[in-house]
Amino acid sequence: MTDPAFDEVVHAPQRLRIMALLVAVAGQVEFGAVRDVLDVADSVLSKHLKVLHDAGYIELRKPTGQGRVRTWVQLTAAGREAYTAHVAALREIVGRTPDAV
Amino acid sequence: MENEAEEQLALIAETRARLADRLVTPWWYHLSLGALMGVLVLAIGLGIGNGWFAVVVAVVVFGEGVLVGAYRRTMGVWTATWDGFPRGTVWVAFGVALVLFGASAAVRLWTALVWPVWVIAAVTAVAFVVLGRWTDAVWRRRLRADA
Repeated sequence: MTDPAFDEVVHAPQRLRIMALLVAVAGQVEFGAVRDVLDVADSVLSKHLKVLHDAGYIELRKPTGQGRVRTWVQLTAAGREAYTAHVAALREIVGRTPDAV
Repeated sequence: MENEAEEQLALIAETRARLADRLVTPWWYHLSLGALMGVLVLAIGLGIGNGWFAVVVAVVVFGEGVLVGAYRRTMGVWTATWDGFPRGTVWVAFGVALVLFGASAAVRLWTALVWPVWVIAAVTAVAFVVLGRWTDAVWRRRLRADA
């Protein structure tokens, strides 16, 4: 089980939502799908994705040769660990069992 | 601090619920998958030992690849691992497929009948539509419940 650890990168609401989405899918999500679920502007999403990417929490892929180039977002192992620890910390604060979400 | 943590957990729940709302598979996906599986049953039941059997199986495999690609482009989501996916329903689908494929092969190997193969193919197509929708429903329910 992951030890609870508050993570400043994950803590920002939009980044927390991005991470929650990626953990829920446990796979790849296209930029447009992330934007639609979060209901944010492209520029806002790009900014938060860059922060998560720089932290090593997500991978960004742009497969070519399939028509329009789309950006696919995927969680890294470090990202999953950070998110799980952060959620455990949140649950600890509110007094719930710190199991992973 | 406690209020903020509650708000963050609520944000996670809201995001998962919004994802669940979005994960409605297009009507054509399960229908096409069912049709492909039905064709595979026909190939097994009518074609084992024939020269065209391998060709049909290759076409079905290619068709599945095209279908998966279309799903990814349309939905913008692809589950690369089974971590978040309802594995139980997928295992049930595998089991049902094995039984139906086996039944089709048995008809081919031990009888000279053709009509049962068509019946099994039709059952397979319908089963995959039903199982696909069931899998979707379980996944959406789990996304909301685990929040």
